[in-house]
Amino acid sequence: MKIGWLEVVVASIFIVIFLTLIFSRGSNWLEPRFWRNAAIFSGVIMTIFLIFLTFDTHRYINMGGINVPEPDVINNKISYVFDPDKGHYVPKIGEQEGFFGKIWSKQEAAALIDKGKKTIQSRNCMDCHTLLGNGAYYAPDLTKAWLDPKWEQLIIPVVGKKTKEEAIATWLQHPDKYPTWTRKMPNLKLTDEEAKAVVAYLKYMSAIYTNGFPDHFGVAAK
Amino acid sequence: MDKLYESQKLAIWYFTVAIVLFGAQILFGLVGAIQFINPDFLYGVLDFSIGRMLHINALVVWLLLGFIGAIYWFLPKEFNREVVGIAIGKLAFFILVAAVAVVVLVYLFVQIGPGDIKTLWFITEGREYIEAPRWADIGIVAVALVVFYNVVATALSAKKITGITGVLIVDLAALFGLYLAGMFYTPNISVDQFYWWWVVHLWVEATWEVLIGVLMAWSLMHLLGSPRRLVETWLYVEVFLVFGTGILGLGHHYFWIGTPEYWLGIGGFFSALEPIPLVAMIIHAVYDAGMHKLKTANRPALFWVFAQAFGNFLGAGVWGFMQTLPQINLYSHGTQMAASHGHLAFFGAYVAANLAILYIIIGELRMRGITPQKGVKYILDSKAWKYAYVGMIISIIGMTAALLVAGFEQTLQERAIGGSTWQAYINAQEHPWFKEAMLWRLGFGIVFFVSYIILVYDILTIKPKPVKEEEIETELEVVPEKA
Amino acid sequence: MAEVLGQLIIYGFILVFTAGFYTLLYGLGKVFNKRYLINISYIFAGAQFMSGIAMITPDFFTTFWKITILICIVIYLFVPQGMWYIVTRIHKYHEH
Repeated sequence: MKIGWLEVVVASIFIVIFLTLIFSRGSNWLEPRFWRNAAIFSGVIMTIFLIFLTFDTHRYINMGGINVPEPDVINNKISYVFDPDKGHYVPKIGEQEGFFGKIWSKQEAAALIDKGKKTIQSRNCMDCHTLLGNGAYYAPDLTKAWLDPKWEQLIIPVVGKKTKEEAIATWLQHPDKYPTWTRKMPNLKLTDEEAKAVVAYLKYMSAIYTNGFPDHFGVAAK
Repeated sequence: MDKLYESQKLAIWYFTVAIVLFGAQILFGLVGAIQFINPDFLYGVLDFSIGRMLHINALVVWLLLGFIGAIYWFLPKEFNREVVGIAIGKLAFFILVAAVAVVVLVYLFVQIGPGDIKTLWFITEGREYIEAPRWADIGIVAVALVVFYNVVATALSAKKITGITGVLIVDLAALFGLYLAGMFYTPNISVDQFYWWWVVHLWVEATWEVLIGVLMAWSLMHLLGSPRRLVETWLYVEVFLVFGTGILGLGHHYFWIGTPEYWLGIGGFFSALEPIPLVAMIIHAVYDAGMHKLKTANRPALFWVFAQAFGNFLGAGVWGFMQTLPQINLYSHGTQMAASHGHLAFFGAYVAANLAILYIIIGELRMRGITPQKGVKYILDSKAWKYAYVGMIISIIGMTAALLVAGFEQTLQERAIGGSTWQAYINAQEHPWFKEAMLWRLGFGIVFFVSYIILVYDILTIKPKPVKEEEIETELEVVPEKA
Repeated sequence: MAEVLGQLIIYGFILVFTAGFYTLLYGLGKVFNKRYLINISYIFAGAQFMSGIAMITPDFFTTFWKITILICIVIYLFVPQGMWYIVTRIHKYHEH
């Protein structure tokens, strides 16, 4: 079933007003009783709508749901392309390319993603960076960081690794050694395993369908 | 002179800790502001991520402590009796303060941990605003339950429930129930952020707003002597408007985190309605001010109440609306525009409210020990509170305006033109508008800190002053003798 | 595109900002019975409306959103009056 937002908006407001009027029959609209009913019904009805929408939203945001990929998406090539039908950019999941030189099974990939998320939380990444646009504004947004041209242009040559994932992992372990700017990322003492997991998470996150955010990533406007 | 209720003494403790944490919040904010200008400042010692975490956590905790203090202050007055579980209330206070101290020390000296579940339990959860480790979450819920128990049990023992306390009970249940939504771990960042907003948005834009409505209702009764039926009717109107627009207004955080497209419409629409309750509050404040011609006995409290009404409108309404339509938010999301909005909205809606209540408490406290004389009335007034008031308002607007310029530039240069990459980010941060804005922000931040010092000085020294009868309409409340 | 986006943000800011001034001056004019304050407030109401119109002139929003914004700014024209009416009626009802 597809939910239309206008139906939700109109229905929720209509039901609140309708119930308030029904239950306040016999009261003047200036009475506390009238407004108490209005308060109760707006709270209850809006909450019911929220819960209903939450169930529906889970169909999209669960791993393997409509918008969020399975962890083993890290095996595939990911790109971000303009979709003329939708009118915005969408992540495109391409053929298998492997990750750190191998194909990860579903379980292995899930464990790696889990480790990556825990590492991201334990190092407070969100208090400098934004992820999916949420967080702090002291450092770049990481939503599509895996696709950032800077890895190829600067980081791979500087750290001297062959693949993008190896280069990112090395850079993440020693950001203070390879500064890209006056504002340096501190060395967060990532282990080899943690660095690999964070890179996996960045790749995984870049495959999430985000309604076109950020717009035209990596492409300067004309 | 009769004694204070024990519950009111507890309220004073809560406010004392709250004001100290307010100072800590400003100091860590200044560290972050300096780091934007000179990134080497405290690099490797107190990195931006740590200072920023302390800045926003201190904010959340001190506001909550103030709210709890305000509840403990007004509750015994509402029911004319001591709060039932006062002993456990005090115990909870000490546990909370000890827990906050431990969390802050761990933040400062341990900072980060290995990427496993133990770190999330004992060091940090790494989720903006609710970084507090899981053990502290459980402590917060326990303390919250004590507050909730005290409100309900006191109402039960008084065998009456007023409209205000009815709203308070429902709101507290929702407020602390929602906190549970932030207490789980998932590797799925979309699910993580979906429920994270239940805590952050539904706290700040729904349950906190209603809690403030409750506290302001009590304040207006005590400040202006407004009749209860009127105050309660108005409170219901506010609850209706806040829940009606705020709950599904949650949608404006569900634009870009992997959630379905219909949230763009729902969020955009309800956000466009959100200025309406705020406009209503302005009209109400203007009406009250006009009818009473500002002749109240507690000047600082009343002025902070007005600052609250206008600050809420400007911070939440104006600054929120201009970036909330999805087509615009696509570019402004996650830039300094959000920081700008956050600074003014938190100050206007919540800091001002807490300070208003603090001055109400001070007004009553300092009237103790003064023997009333015939023909003499007392008002709470001083020079210092005016400096603090004007200083804080000017400096918060200054900071907000500076961040707005920075965010505007970032939205255009980094997002709309540059394509949001790492290099586009750096280019936007190096833009002269941005760099200039950061200097202004730091300058106004220092002014804000100075105003804070004046505020603390005033809180410690302000005294009731005798005035002629006709200058005021109400007078500072003299507590009746208890049997 | 960036240029239009920048203008839209500014117009959105002015829209709610002037709506706030409209409300404030209208309320003050009513409460102190000053006709000229109310007249000035209508200038802000006009500014509010015009900035809304400025938001929907460029082809940035789809037609549907343009109509939504248009409805919003028309409603906002009457919000201060409506709120003033509700507030005074509630006060009078409970104070007498």
